[in-house]
This record gives sequence, structure tokens and C-alpha cells, in this order.
Amino acid sequence: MGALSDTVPKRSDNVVFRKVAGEYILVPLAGSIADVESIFNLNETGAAIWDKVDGRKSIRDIVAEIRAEYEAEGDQLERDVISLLDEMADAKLILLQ
Amino acid sequence: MKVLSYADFSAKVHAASSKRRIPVSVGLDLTYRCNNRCVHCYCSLPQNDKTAADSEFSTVEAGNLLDELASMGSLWLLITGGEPLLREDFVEIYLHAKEKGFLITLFTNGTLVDEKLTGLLSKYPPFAVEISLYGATKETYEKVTRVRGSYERCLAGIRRLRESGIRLNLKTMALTINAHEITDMDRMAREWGCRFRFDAAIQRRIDQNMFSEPERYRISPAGVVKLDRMFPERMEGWREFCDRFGDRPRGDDDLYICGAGQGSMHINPYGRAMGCIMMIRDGFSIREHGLSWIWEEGIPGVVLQKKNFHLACDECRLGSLCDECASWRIVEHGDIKKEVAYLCEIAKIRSRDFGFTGSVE
Repeated sequence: MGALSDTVPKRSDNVVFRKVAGEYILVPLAGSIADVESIFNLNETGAAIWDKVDGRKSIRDIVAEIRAEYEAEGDQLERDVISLLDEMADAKLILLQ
Repeated sequence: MKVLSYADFSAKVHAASSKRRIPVSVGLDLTYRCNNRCVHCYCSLPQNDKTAADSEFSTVEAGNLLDELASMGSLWLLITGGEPLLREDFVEIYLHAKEKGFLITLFTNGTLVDEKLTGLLSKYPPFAVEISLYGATKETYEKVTRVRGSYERCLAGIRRLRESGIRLNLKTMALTINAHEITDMDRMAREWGCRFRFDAAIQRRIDQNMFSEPERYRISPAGVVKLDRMFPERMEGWREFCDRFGDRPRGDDDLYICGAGQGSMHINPYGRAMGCIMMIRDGFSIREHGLSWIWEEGIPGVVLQKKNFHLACDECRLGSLCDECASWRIVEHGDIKKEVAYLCEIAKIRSRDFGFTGSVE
């Protein structure tokens, strides 16, 4: 795991996580990202990852917890977590610090 | 993470919510008080009605209500009234709803939209704002609102919202006294880059106020259909709807056929909740029963009732062209067993004029 794994993701203050009719979504509250022409939709694993983004856990910690919960092995899980967090950062839903 | 188009997401959630009975859409009347006195309004009270104001749910109650709705899975929140901007705690309630992640649509008459409000809405955007435009001219508009200066104030509100880049839709109720200006209102909306829609189904007052008769301003059934024909998009909408649902008798014994109370709920300013606004007079008190019981027990006990009487509508095949429902019958006649002749006549004329369906007998 490289340097990125020490990065600590933090949720944007401008986003609310909601579970609606079985769908996990992120609702931006303020500014231009609050344009709801598109909706950020997470699957169950994505929701579990979001739940662990607390501004204290590093990506390494998050991967380890997900690995334990889902009993997943190999490098793919780590790549998937980093990819999702990158997407979230690009969409300004989280900050990578 | 998938980025879904809003339309796909909305269709998916609405389909799931009715099946699983989740109140994803909620209408919330903040007040029935209004600074206009529209001739056709089904609920408005004077803006300085102290008794009404004192009976409205408090800021704290509104916050608790929004918290509970969010935990029940509500997402779409319609903030309406009366004129919701008359509430002194409007900003507090709006921000609370935003913080809970609701997608908010705000219905307003636009006359109280000032720079302070557009600043707030620019920073924390609603899903949309919808303003009722009651006429294309000052004379007609104020004949409806019965308040001098309201036309200029409404146009100023529209201008401020447009300049702030807030998504704005316009609409009107088509009345005997403004129907001649509907096409001009549509043109104005297009020039301003706003969507425009209208409705001609004027309902009676939900509080049975004897001194107000909105039904006096209904356009004749033939006039309603004439308006339909003037708007190709509206005609096309009817055509698509009929292709999907047309030419089918009601065919079952459900008392409420519209789906109200399955994935949606309405709450009035006094904290009473029901399946839809038209049923609100018989709504359940949230203070007395709690929202959870109302959704799980109270509303289903009403909207899932079976019909144990016969209606002429039972065999009619024009249901898809008709607004008729049990709630309309109650508001219109105070009698759930008596059909709404006005809506029936509109449906029959639509059917004949459009050639959409067969038998109307």
C-alpha cells in the first residue's frame, strides 16, 4: 500500500447521506454541487465505506475494516476503495487530507 | 459510485416507495395565512389572523417533524401554504430541512421574495421554486389576488429569483377571469426561461368556509378542453397518458384509487397529517398520535378502505381523463358517494374531442 493509504478522508460539511427506499444517496446541500440534475448513488459497500469516512481513519484503516467485515482478500478491495474515494473527492463530496 | 440522472433516480425511488409504503414525498403547509386574497383559493386565511398563527406548529415542532420524516425515508419536501414566506421562522425551518437532506420545492406567490431570501436560496438551493402567476396583466392578476400592488411585487420576486439563477417554474390556475391571458402567461414564462403549467380543476374550500366560493370561478368544461387544445404539449401529455392507462374501467373496489398515502403524505399548519391535501380535514393530529402511528396505522386505515357502494364511475372507461376521486367527492359535496359532475363532464368532452377512448356510457 502506497503513500495514499496514509491519507485521511474527511466528509464535506455540505453533504448529507440518506437512505431512501433502499437507495443510498449523497445529497449536496450548498453551492453549485447542490444542482440535483444528477444523484450520487452508492451501493451497500459504498455506503459502508462512507460510514467509515470520519476525518480520523486513514484509507489504510478503512480498507482494513472493510476487509474484515466483508472477509475480502487480495489487492482488488484496496483499489476499489481508493477508486471510490477518488471519485468522491472529484465530486467534492469528501476532502483527502 | 453511480451518478444517476435525476429522472432515473426519481422513477426508481417512486416505484419502490409505493410498493413498500415509504413516505418519500411530503407536502408541508407552513401556514394557511396569505398576503393575497385569491378568489379561487381553497385554504387561505388573512395574513394577520392571530388565532390561525397561534395554532400553527412551532419552530421546534417543525424541526422534530422534519427529523422524523427524514428517519422515515422522506426525501422530496414540498413547502407550501398559504404563503409560507409569512412564517417568521421560515429561514430556520428551510435550513433545518436542507440539513436533513430533503430535496425542497417551495411554492410561493413571489410577492415576499427579497434579496435576503434569494441570497439564502443561492447559497442553499432548493430543488425548485414555483410561483403562481395569476395574470399576464396587472388588471387581471389583481382581479384574482384582490391586493393592490401584488402584481409588481410578484414580478419583482420573479426577477430576483431569475437573476440569482435559482430554478424557477411558473404556473397558474385557469379561471373565468384570467383564462384569456393563459397564452400570454405561457409566453412570458418562456421569455424568462421558466417552465409553465396550468390547472383548471378548481376545488372548493377544504374548510367549507361559507363566505368563499372558489367554484364560482371555474371555467366551463368545454372551456377547459378548449384550453387543452391550445397547448400542443398538453395535448401530447394527455395522449401519452391515455395510451398508457386509457380505456380501462376502474375495475376494483378500492375507495381511494390515486395512490395517495402510499408513497406520500400531507401535513397542515396545525400538525395534522393525511394522505393528501384534500383529505386533510380528516387528518390525524401528530401531537396526539405521533407521526409513526399515523403513517403505519392511521393513513392506511383510511386510504386502503374498500368501497361498499356503487358509483356511476365504476363502469366508466375514462378514468385516465378524469381527476375524480373520493377526496374530490368529499370536498365537493361532503358526500363520498356523490360523483363530481364538473370533472365528469370535462372527461367526457376530452374523450369526444380528442378521440382518445371509446364508450363513455
